[in-house]
Amino acid sequence: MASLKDIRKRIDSVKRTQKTTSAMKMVSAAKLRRSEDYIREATPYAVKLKSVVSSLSTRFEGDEQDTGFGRLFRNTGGKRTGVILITSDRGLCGGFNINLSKTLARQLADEEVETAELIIIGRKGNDFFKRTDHTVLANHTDTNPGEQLALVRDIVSEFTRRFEDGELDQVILAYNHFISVIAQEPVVEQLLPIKPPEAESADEREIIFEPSPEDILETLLKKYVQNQVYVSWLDTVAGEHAARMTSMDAATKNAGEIIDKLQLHYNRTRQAAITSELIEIISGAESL
Amino acid sequence: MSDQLKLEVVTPHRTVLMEDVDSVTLPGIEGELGILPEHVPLLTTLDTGIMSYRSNGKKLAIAVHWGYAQVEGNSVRVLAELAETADEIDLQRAQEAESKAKNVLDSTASSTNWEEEQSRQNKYESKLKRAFVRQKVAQFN
Repeated sequence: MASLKDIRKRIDSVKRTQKTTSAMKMVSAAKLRRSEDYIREATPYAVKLKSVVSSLSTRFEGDEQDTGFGRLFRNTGGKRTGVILITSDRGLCGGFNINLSKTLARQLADEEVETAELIIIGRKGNDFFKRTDHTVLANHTDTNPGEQLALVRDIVSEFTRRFEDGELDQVILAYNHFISVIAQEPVVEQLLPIKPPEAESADEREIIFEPSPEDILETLLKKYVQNQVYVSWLDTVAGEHAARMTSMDAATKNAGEIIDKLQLHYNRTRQAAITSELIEIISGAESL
Repeated sequence: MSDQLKLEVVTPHRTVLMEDVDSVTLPGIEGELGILPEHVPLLTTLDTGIMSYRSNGKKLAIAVHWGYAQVEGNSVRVLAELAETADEIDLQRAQEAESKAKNVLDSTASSTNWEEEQSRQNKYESKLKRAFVRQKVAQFN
């Protein structure tokens, strides 16, 4: 049986762990608030860009497969796949990264894609996919918030160029959608060929384009794809902090329970030791 | 019928401006565009330049660095890569950036590779332009 000293030591160690987890929870809560602000500030741009694209979506119809922006809609049905996977750099956030990686791996298996080419943001996704048959082209870690947009631009334009040149048949984006503090959902969606958003109210009036519609649409659609990735990234960052907050909260609670149990055990053991000492003294006195 | 335009300027990072204005001048890629209420629907690419607008008799300016503008009914939406109001611009920094870019452009080619040199020139030319626009906007009022 564990001695009193051993139990005391364990209680101290669990208390220290509890301090760490509760501090991590506080830090995540603060970071979550900030990343929610980022999302809030980025939303108007994303919404407006989407509505510009959707108001023009009637113009995308028709089969201009090989000219300008038409190539971004080309559906070849092939299996050469590029993937942008957005995960977090750090762990201790429950099943956040592993759920997403598994969802993506399952989807790739369903589509019978054997070797996809991945560009991974965050260390955790890389840890998962480097052990699979898929090729990891690049892994970006520890990106500052200020550099996110530029990095997204580089990644997306590289994939877009290869898609246009016919080197890739589709490009997929995988990220965690931040629903609420307690719920994040892994999302795997198709970036290219572009699926135009539903037209809300197609403006029937003639629109003046400057320069030509082709030039505008091509860059506009690329910008739209970039923005999708950027917004998803912000979504994932917020989700990461939320997931860490909930899992650290649970850890803190569990540590509390363990401390209570150990304390009870400690008290009982101490009581038992005193009782047995008393019995020894009394029986010794009686025998005199 | 409204005689005002609803002007919105957003960037990927934030909303810069949301205001009712009387008229807007946009730095279109093919030249300046004046927008008044009841303008026909228009979609244009914006260059690096000065976007000015008139509101309550005052004329104000914003530096816009590449983007799109959509005019629809009486609303003008500007989706800019970067947009700065006059208060946000650090005039001294813009001046320094301008002289630095000028120096680089005036100096002799550092690389023998033509393409590299070309892209370097383009980069500094756009830097120069941005610095120039920033200064103009900062001194606008």
